[in-house]
Amino acid sequence: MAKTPKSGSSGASGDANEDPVLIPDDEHPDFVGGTIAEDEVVDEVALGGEGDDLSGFDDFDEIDEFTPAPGGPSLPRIPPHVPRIPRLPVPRQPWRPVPIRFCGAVSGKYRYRPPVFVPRPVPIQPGPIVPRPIPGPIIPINLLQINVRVDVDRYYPQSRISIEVNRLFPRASAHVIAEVTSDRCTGLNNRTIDANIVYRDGTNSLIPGTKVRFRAQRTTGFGYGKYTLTLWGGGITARNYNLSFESKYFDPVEFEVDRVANAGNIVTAYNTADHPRRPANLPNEVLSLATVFQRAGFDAKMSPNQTVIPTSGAGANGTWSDTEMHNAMVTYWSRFANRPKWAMWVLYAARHDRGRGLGGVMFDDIGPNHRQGTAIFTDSFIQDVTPGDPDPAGFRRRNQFWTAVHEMGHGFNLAHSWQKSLGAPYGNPWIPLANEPEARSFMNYPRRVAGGENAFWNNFRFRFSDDELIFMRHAPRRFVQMGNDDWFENHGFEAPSELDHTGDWSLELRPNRANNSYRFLEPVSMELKMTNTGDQTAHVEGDMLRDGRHITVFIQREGGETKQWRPMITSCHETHEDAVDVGESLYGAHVISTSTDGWLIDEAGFYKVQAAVDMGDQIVVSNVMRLYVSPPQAEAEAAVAPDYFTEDVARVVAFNGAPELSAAEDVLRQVAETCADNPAAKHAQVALTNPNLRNFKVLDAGAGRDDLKIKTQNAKVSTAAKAQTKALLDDPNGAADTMGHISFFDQLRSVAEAMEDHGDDKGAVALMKKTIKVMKDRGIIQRVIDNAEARLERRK
Amino acid sequence: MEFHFTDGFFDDVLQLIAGDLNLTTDPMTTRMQTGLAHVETLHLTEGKEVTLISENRHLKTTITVDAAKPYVIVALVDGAFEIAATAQMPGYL
Ligand SMILES: [Zn+2]
Repeated sequence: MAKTPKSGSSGASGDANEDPVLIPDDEHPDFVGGTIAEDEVVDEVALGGEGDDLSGFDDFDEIDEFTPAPGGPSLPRIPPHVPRIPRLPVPRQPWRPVPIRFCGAVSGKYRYRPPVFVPRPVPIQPGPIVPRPIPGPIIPINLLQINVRVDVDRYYPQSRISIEVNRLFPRASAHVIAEVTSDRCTGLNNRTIDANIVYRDGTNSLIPGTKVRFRAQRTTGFGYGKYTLTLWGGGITARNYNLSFESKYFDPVEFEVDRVANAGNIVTAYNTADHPRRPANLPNEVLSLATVFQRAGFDAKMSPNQTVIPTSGAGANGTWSDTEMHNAMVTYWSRFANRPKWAMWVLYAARHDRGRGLGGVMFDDIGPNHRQGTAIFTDSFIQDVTPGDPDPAGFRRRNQFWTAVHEMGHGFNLAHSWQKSLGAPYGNPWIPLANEPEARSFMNYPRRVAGGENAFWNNFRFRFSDDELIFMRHAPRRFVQMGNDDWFENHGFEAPSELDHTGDWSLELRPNRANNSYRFLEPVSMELKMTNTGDQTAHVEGDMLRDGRHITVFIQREGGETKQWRPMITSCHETHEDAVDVGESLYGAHVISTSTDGWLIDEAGFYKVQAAVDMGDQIVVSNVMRLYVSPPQAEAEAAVAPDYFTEDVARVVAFNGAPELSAAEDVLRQVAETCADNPAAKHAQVALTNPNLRNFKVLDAGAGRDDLKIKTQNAKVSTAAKAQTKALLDDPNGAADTMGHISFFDQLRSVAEAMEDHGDDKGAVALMKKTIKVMKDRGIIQRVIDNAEARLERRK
Repeated sequence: MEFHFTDGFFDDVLQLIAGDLNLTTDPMTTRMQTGLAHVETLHLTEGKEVTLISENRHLKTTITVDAAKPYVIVALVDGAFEIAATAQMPGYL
């Protein structure tokens, strides 16, 4: 049996709490460690209803043997009571041999990510890259994310499976909750759980069907090795997804506890046996704030940052207003950010402006991001012991601990037990809810239940109610996540805002010119700027915005279909990580008009563009940019269009030259000559002469495949440099506008280097000087100018 | 005497009349995370009658001051006042 130290508290010295002594999960009476097989083995075929196609159910082509088993190969005893789902009673003997048809715990979070095909990189060769198609299919980012939360065992199981689907583009999301109807163990760690969808939110078509099946199976070894989700019912063809186990918790959350200097001793851990008024069979253990929320299903961690805030923060009166606490939160919370985040600030202060009658408050219902901060007032009525109480000190400790969890519960958007059904004008319940005036929950007021406080504490088991747990674990996450939906809304609902700014990066998509209007034929370039908006230095591939592998851009002509831009060039380079400090940005530029299969922007009209960058652990989505392409302004533009908007010309433009595509080069020459005032002419001139800056290798197929030869075309540097300089610098503003700063200055640098390599040092220096002048005239960032000047200095 | 207006108020203006005293509150709304809308403190003697009026809800009730239970909790439940007096200061969380 666990030891039972006194309830933990942090004194004025700020000492850490005693380590809480917890009953191990598998010895805890509230913990459900798994299930045991029923005698009957369920007939698979019988599970599909009429018109439901479950034929593909066992047709899984992937087995991920590296998928960790949730909680490891657990062999806990089965508790006597498992809510709702009947299971065989099993004697409480932890040493009992493993039953052959025992299924370990599966509750937790699972993910589905579509398979990612990484293109074979194009090897770097001297000179420009020889264009060739990248073998497909290429899915550089995960366009579909599915999170599955299975809730059938571990602490306080609610017999629910909820599914969250986010589709990146066109952006849509959906969320369903299904009620478990059967949970069968048909062999050692071979478990099938069926559920009916009872709640829907968002775009229904993303999660079709009426039923959900979750399957956990053993593959090799003892534990689970394979998890699958099937959506079926309602006449749809079953959809199967292979899942990977992510966590035994449903979401992570971090709490930071800060204390005002005059708050005195604060209680952040509580010994359940501390006060004699408690349920007779309440397990005797020390609970921390984190433990309570872990058992509610969250991977709750305490921030190592614990600040002691000067009393002066409360202003001259020494007591705290909501605004003063909000200011303190902004100032002292190490993770403060005005955006949704699974994190909460918990302040222990002495007293609120409202006086002794306010024991605590979730004060953060001001500003754009609610529910991030809560406060507990140590010099308030929570110190008032009920007359005749047998243990006044224990009473106070319990009150303070309970109050802290209560306020934190408000941070998760939980209403009071007697307010659950309340709707407009205050807000809305997320689903129709009944009040729970008698609930023995952290969210009730003990004095309000029948029989008063004593009746409450005699039956309180330091947990949230079932309805509260269903909400916290399974409601659309924006309802629950701190800083997301406004307070008391959904306990509320608002337009889907999935994938919004929950990560540590922001991504800006911009044209880098004064307006978003483009001429007909003009290739559209976009710049990407990705900024570290997190709270610590990040280490990422420094070239990730220049290298197309990580980027996808979606282009939608208004009134037309959405097309996905895939880069034609993905470079193969040694992966090197760069440190990106908070507030620093990475940049990249790409011509987005052309993709592997031709032109994406080839008609006059309005287009919407959005980019996404795959960071591995998260996808960062940009703003949506709207651009306009004007109709042809001259007959020559219209005349060349049929030959210009072809795959070969797209290739030459994208690769900045491809001499073997001579017909395409002819078209570009026509553009340069007949459409000279169109910015497309500048792209054409650059693409046509760029290959001549260096010796250029091409594959010569000769008579056939057996006769492949690499031919080298010799550079014609001085002619090419002259043509490039003319195209880029005769009208530098026009060229920079149409190419974008990054490509424009990269190209100038490339010309200067070619001149230098060819022995024309003087010409190179002159070009570099002109380049620096344009940089200054166009006011580009100083760091880039400094680098260019340093390069120039080395050559003088 | 403290009148604690708790659940059910939304932009409600109440009138409290006790002898010569005639007080009209500011509009009050229940703050959901504490379950409290407003506290009004009045200095009244034992046995005094206080009339509580909500004009827009057409409600009127009379409370007799009990010095042993100086905290009067007023809630609006199902369109009617629900009133309870207590000796112990009610707290809110
Ligand atoms: Zn509360």
